[in-house]
Amino acid sequence: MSAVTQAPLPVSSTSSQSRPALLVILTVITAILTVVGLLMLLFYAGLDVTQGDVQRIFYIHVSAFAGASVALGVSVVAGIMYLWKRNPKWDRLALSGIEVGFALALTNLITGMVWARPIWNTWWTWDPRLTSAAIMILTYAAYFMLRAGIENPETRRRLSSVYGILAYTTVIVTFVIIRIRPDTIHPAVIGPSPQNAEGGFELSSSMLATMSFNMIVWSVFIPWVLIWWRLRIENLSERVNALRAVVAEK
Amino acid sequence: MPETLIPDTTAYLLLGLGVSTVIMGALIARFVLKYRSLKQDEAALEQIAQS
Repeated sequence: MSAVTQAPLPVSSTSSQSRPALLVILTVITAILTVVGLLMLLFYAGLDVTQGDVQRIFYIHVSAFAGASVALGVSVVAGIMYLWKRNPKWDRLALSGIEVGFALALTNLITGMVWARPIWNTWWTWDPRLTSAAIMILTYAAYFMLRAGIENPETRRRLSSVYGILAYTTVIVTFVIIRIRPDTIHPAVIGPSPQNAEGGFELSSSMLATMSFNMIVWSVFIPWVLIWWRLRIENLSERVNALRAVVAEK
Repeated sequence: MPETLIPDTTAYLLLGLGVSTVIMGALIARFVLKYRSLKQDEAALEQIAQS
């Protein structure tokens, strides 16, 4: 038996050796569903006569936020599990969730800016919703800096878990702020819009079907598949680190 | 019946879709590059450890 196989490898190292069939199937299904969702928003959903085609960006904008909420929610659960069990696999899951959630939140923010330009006549305004979304992104960007700044692995995992759990308050605030602040101009797609909302729209049956379909794709399939892939990379990274330790000892 | 003038905002839709594709594409590309790099490291380290 070689030294490599005797090395203290991570528990889930075997998962990095081969691609699980379920993950490959899920990835293919997700890719197909994403394209179908895109075709639906382009060709099936009805045209909003007051906003024109740009209204269609809402199907990605809203769904990306839902996906970010799910992915970042995974990191909260993983963070709690790490603090409870102290097993590094939960920290790896938390990191994976935040990385995927960060990309989805960024997609949400930037598509919102693109929509705002023709509808509000500006790329950016310090509206309560936009401000809270920007704070949310910056809070999660700081998570990566926090991880990079702590050398001790145990301390890094513990502090990152606590930070990841607390950071989720920014997601909750971003979600509820248009429902509790009367001065926001951001419309609510689901539920009644605030009285000052500019650019709201009624969902026709084809719009509702498109929104529902994209919400499922972006909040169930895309985050889960991406988190799974990211987790495999993190597991492989752990295995490489274990191998480095073995080589260094020789 | 008055004719409704629909604003031409197609360019913004395409911009939004393009930006979404770039962000998610960059994330996936990062995954692929990191995975390949780690696989290469793994193979090299296994070779060193076995020699």
